[in-house]
Amino acid sequence: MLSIREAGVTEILEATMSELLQVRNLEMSYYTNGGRVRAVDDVSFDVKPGEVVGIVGESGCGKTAVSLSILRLLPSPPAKIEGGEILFEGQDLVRLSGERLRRIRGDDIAMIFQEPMTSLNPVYTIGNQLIEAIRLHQQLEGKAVRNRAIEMLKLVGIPRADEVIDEYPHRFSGGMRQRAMIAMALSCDPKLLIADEPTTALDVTIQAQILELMRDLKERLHTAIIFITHDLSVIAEMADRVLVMYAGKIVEQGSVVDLFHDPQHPYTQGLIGSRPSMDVERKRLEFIPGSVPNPLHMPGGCPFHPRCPHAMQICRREMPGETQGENEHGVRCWLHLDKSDDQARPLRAAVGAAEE
Amino acid sequence: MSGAAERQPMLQVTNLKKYFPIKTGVFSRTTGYVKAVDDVSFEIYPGETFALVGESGCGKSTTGRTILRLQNATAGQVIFKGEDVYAASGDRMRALRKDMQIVFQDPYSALNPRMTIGAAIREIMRVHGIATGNELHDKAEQVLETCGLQRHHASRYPHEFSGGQRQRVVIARALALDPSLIVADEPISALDVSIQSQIINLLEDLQDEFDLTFLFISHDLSVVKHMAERVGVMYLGKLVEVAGKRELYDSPLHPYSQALLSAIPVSDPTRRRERVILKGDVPSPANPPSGCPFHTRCPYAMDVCRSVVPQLRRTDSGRHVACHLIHPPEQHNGDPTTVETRNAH
Ligand SMILES: Nc1ncnc2c1ncn2[C@@H]1O[C@H](COP(=O)(O)OP(=O)(O)OP(=O)(O)O)[C@@H](O)[C@H]1O
Ligand SMILES: Nc1ncnc2c1ncn2[C@@H]1O[C@H](COP(=O)(O)OP(=O)(O)O)[C@@H](O)[C@H]1O
Ligand code: SF4
Ligand code: SF4
Ligand SMILES: [Mg+2]
Ligand SMILES: [Mg+2]
Repeated sequence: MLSIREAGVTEILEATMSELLQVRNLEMSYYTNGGRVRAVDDVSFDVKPGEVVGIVGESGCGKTAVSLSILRLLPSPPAKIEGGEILFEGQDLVRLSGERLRRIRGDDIAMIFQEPMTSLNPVYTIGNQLIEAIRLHQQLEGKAVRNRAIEMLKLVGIPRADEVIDEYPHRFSGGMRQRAMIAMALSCDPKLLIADEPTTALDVTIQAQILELMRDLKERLHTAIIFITHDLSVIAEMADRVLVMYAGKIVEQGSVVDLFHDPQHPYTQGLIGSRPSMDVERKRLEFIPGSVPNPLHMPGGCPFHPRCPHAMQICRREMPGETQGENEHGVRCWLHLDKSDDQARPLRAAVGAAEE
Repeated sequence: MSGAAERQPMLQVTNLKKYFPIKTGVFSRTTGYVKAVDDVSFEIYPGETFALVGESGCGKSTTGRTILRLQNATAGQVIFKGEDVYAASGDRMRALRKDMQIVFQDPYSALNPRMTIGAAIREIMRVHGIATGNELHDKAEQVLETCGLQRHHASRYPHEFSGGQRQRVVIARALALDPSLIVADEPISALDVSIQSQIINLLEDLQDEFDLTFLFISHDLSVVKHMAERVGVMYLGKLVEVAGKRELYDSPLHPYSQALLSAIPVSDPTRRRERVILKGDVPSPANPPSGCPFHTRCPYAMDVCRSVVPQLRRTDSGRHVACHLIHPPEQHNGDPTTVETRNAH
């Protein structure tokens, strides 16, 4: 079987010592007609080589904005990176441009999207697109490139790869397109793969296939993955570490086990509690009152305060900083910080009645 | 549900078929059919939630729409409260429509953007003669309140609401007609995760309060496990298994049900489910496999599966399964417990 990175074992060993990606205080806004949308607001996290970091959060919380910032694929205008650093192997991607940025994007970081059709070109065969990607990144020519492309398609589990390679994307089913996308992303042998809702558009049996494939590739190729989804169960299955985003901010991060067994932030607790469990039957589901805030009218202070059952006076005024528990389990919530009695007064008397 | 056998079903669907013609060429000749719903039979009992699950395109929505005659069935029978829906004309159909409501996935397109939500609810109540004059206003506001909104919301337009609130409005509009059966077609799929449980709770509260019966269509198997009493599993236009919720989730019998349930991601990172990973993709319903529609992906497929269509038959435990493994084909003749004979007219 194919082993993309066999030659680079020593390189991995060296890299394991340090972080692959360090995002520091990233700020990114979209300037829309309605005003400024702070899509990424003071976001910091690390990705180690070979690690799967999951980003979970509801639609609009800034997950895609984070990944597009890392790849510097933002539409500008309206998007603007306004602060912070994105250190990839020590190089700040925010300050990189032109050829050097392109090299990193092509050789070291690859991305797969929710809807693979948007990144596959309908007028070229799958093979042509894959061959093009391989030529760009690897020193191969002629028949060897085509063989390599067939190998890649086999690697991602596409049956009859040698025939299918000459077909156009529209002949592919959703699952096969996503596999082709993954093959394409892996063709550059990236150190970091960003997968933005890679299975959201797929049926559950096909999702199971793709998740299995990604787990397998991660084991074999030791690629670090940023795995983005709104589906908590998928995160539980895929991630080593998890970032929970709400309204452009990371409100909690930690190991996947800590996060699911000991969630600290009221939003994380609400999210986990409101999903029906497959094991425990409950009469009524827990719920988070209210709805996701309008990005143009973000509540001040902690953006979760209008929906939070524990909200205090201070929550309305000031965004809490991060407190770190054991095992790098970080949370941004006033419940975990010192405050005066006055600041700790409850914001509302009893919560629960008003659902929205 | 226990005791279901003695009760009269509220809805009885028998051999329902819906074929969509495939037209090609300049003369739009019909060159084949998409068998969206192909010989589906089940019943729903008063007060229960019956769920239809299955992957995209397997025919869940089409089943729902043909039951309500929002789309005409190609063949089959739908009996609602003892009345043949497809024999009903004019006034009777209008009465049936009032008694069978549908809530769709997308609360955005379900509401007229130029009408206040109060006006929309009053309009539909007027059409069905539920109320007149001032009573209309009061009833509309009351039903909004029942669905977790406030009376003053009646004067607002759909765009002034969040997705979850809009779904509440859509549910209120259905509820305003005091129906017995609500077909809920993916009612929470378009909503934010943190809103979904609000709507599930609302549906369950309404069911208790107003004695509603639900046909609940969903691909979210965790939600179905929470909501439903009985579940029908569809694959390529066919029902492959019908069983009580607990039986199905504890021990699915049909190989497709087994794969489908095992594919659900587990939200506990310290646990791993033993998983049946299916090979290949769902075949096109325009060109379904011969014999058992699942044979191209079934890990147990036998020769007979390629040629003989397995019928949905009752098992000893009272479940219904369409699979040659469960009911070997040679035993079929004269089997008195088949759905077909049970429902024979
Ligand atoms: N009006 C139509 N004309 C032609 N084909 C149709 C029509 N409506 C549905 N179909 C086809 O019938 C099949 C069943 O569709 P249906 O919408 O019932 O599936 P579903 O189970 O509700 O799927 P989903 O989970 O994606 O909502 C599909 O192959 C679909 O493409
Ligand atoms: N091209 C754009 N122009 C303006 N606003 C945008 C654009 N893309 C995203 N946004 C806004 O940025 C915020 C974060 O969006 P996004 O990163 O896509 O969220 P997610 O991926 O978590 O669903 C949202 O409020 C969204 O409406
Ligand atoms: S900071 Fe305050 S409002 Fe925000 S989550 Fe914590 S307690 Fe709730
Ligand atoms: S009938 Fe055959 S192919 Fe179909 S599910 Fe049963 S064993 Fe599998
Ligand atoms: Mg996104
Ligand atoms: Mg549907």
